Amino acid sequence: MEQEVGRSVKGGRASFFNNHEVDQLLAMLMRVTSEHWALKERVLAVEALLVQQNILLPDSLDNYVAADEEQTRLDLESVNLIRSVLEASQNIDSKKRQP
Amino acid sequence: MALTHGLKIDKSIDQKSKERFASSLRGYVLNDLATEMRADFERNLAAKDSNLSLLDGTAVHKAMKQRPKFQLYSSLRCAAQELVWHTVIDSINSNAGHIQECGKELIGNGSDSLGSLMLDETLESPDYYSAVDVHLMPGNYQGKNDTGILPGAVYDNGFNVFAFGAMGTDLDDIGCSMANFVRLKFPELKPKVIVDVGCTIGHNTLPWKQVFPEANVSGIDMAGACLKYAHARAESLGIQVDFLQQNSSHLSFADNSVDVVFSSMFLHELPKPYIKQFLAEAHRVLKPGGIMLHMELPPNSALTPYDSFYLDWDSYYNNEPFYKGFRDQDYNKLCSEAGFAPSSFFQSVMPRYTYVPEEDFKAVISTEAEFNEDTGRLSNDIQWYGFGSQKL
Repeated sequence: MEQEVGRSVKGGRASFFNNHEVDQLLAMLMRVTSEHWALKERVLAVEALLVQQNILLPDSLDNYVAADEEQTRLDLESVNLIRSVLEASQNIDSKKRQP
Repeated sequence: MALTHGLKIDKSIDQKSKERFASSLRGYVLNDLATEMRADFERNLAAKDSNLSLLDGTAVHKAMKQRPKFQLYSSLRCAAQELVWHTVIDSINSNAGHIQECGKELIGNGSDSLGSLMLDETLESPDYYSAVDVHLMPGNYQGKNDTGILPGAVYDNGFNVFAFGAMGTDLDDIGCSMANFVRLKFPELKPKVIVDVGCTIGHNTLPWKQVFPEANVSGIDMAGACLKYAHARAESLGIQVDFLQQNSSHLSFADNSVDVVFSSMFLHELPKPYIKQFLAEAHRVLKPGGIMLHMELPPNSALTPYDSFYLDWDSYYNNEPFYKGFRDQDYNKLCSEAGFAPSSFFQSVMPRYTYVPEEDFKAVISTEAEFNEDTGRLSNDIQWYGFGSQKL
């Protein structure tokens, strides 16, 4: 007996936009949004627990200001994230189609 | 709405968050986007249809295909459907050992079980049964490989996310509504034998035993994996039901031996010849005075062209190949062709029993069936549709 359920769907699913890649992108976006939401709920839960246990004051996160050096590092990381996301499409040549 | 039975799994905060997100996405698509798509149809197609070409659901579907609202609704609805299964399968796979162990413990050796499980390993599935994964559900009801009772767990947990809380505790509102419909509509009937055909995990079978505790209640399905899960699930809830692996075209019950033959969301998953064979079987096994009742999607003939198109979406895009073919049928004719008297046909549109006071439920089922856009449409205001016949 196997202990894992597979994920492939016999019969597949339809696409709706004139370019089916839009459907694929939308599905990916929903998957990413789901991950984002899970992360957000986890952070909110951590904050709530820290406040409940008097480790964090209720508004201390919103009032938090990073030190200059820390903020510079965060700004650089955010730019790197933007680059990383946008670079994902750099090798796609719209004129080069599958034969 | 969380599951409460003994096979429920402890999910991580991430898994619960993702399930809530998938439910919210489905709720958004089926409520908000559906409302926008209907408004787009009314404003831009129906209002300009001077030659009245939008006569039926097929014509509306053809006209809607190039509408951006339809494309967005449909693409997101498919994405949400895939997300439901993806999310749930993550939870199932990470709890697989626990689910199998729980199942084994609950099924036991059968000696101290309330109900029973009778599998038929020689049963051959018809070709249609494994042609596609219905509802885009990976592995369908039986699973691609032998994964024990996990396909049942996928269906149970997935359906709970899919229904965004609209199906009652442990997904039993359809069963509760239909069993109470029979209790209130046919008070003279004191059923001793009740059969739920196409029962999958038995979620809508169990309420029949709760409403009619004196009756012997059986759940029938072809999917052994779901039946094993159904049996364990029923045992964990302390409800006595027998589960049998059979084909709906060949029931093992003797002629004139059953008081109620019930099915829920089952007929639309059968090709027409199998629907006819099942209804004939229902007529054969029912006692005179017995009731056949099917909870189903309403017939296309009872709906506006737009509502027909809306409900038939599943047939085109949710791997429900027989859905539209079934809904295009005359249900009374289907019953009469199976041997039931046309005058015995009944149908009802009803609120969800576990969501309204019984008096309200009783008042609605005592009136003629009134169809509207919420009939059979999974939304926050869904109403169930049931039809059937009494054997004379």
